[in-house]
Amino acid sequence: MKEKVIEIINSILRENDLEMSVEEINDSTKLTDDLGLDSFNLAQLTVEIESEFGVDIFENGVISTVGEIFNQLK
Amino acid sequence: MIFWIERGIEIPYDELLEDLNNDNPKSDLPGYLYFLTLLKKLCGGRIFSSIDSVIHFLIENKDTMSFQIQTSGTTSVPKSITVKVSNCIRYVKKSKEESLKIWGMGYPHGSFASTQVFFQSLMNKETIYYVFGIDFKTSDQIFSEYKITNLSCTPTFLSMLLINLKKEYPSVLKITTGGEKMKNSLINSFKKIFSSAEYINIYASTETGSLLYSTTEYFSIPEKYTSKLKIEDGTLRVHRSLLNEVDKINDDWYDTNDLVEFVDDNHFKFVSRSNGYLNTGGFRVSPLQIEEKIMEIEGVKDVHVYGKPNSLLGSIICADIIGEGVSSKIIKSELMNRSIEKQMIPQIIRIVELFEHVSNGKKKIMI
Repeated sequence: MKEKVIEIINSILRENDLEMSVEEINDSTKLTDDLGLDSFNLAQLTVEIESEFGVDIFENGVISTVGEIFNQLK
Repeated sequence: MIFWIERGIEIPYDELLEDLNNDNPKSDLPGYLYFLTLLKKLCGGRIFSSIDSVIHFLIENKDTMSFQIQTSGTTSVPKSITVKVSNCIRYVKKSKEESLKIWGMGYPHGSFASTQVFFQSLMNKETIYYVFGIDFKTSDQIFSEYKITNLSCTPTFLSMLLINLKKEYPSVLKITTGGEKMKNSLINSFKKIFSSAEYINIYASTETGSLLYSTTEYFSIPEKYTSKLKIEDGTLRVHRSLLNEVDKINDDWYDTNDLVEFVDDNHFKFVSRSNGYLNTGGFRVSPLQIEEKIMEIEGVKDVHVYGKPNSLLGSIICADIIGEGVSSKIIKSELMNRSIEKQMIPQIIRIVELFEHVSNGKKKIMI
């Protein structure tokens, strides 16, 4: 599951010209500060993850780190 | 006394008065210039001796003055809506004492909601920090340094703040959101960070101004509006007497096309808009306008733009495209190169082989 999430994040970074590929990602990696995602990129992330795992990661509140995404998908 | 803060630059009320009475303002901040221009138009070239006299003039003439707001139309042509000043300041509270409020304006200048914040602040000579468009990494510094007391923004803007703010900000005493449907889970999320803040959820539109208030995602029709608001066929209808442009409506009732769902006998929540617009992160965008922009890209043969419900943005913009030699990345890059506003760039783009056209005229996707 973690590998797939990282793959999705990297594809969003590439597609939006954020030019940041995350090799070593950990639970505390911040979606906005570390990865540079804005609200539109985060919305894309929610759709891509929901399409893969059937879970809306923002449904129950705000997500700010990669670890919080993993927790939502457990 | 500070009137406006934008990108860390402070504009005092004295400078606003000077700019109102003269041409060639010193500042080129886009948010400030928008509201300065609006105020100048309303004041019609008059010279004022003080900000108090400007406020007095606005209050005295609120019923006869109006201004234009641009909104994306249901066709590809943006339309202009006339807004009466009286409708804009319908609920403005005028304080008798000197106010120390500092507003965080989290709406884009030019939107109806931003003008409401502008008038509310101006009428009481308060300060606005134009937080819309800030780099969210600086949000901690802004909230810590400027001690914002009243935050007015879309739910998306609030979500982005919450992602970036980590400590408590007790200076924030009131949070008002509008422009998109709110979720109770988001209301619960901000209570840790803005623990002192009272919360108000506003239902408003450019056509009607502010109509409904709530402290949750659920609304009810207040007693004073029982004869002026109704829900019919699942959508909210507004009596013509509450509209900004009453002359353009032939029927007694205006259909907002905002779909509602009852949660009990008296309370309802907004589900979505069905009026041809998509609401993404508080921006109202026209799918037809986006389709037109995408069709200009070389290799695109046909496109279908639509919205998908999204817990962060309200709706996320999606595009299904038929074309040759195009990819999601190419389409996004082309749109960015053409300086298309970010909210109009579809986040989900699929390259497909054909659409199926269905009876209602909408395109249905075939993969």
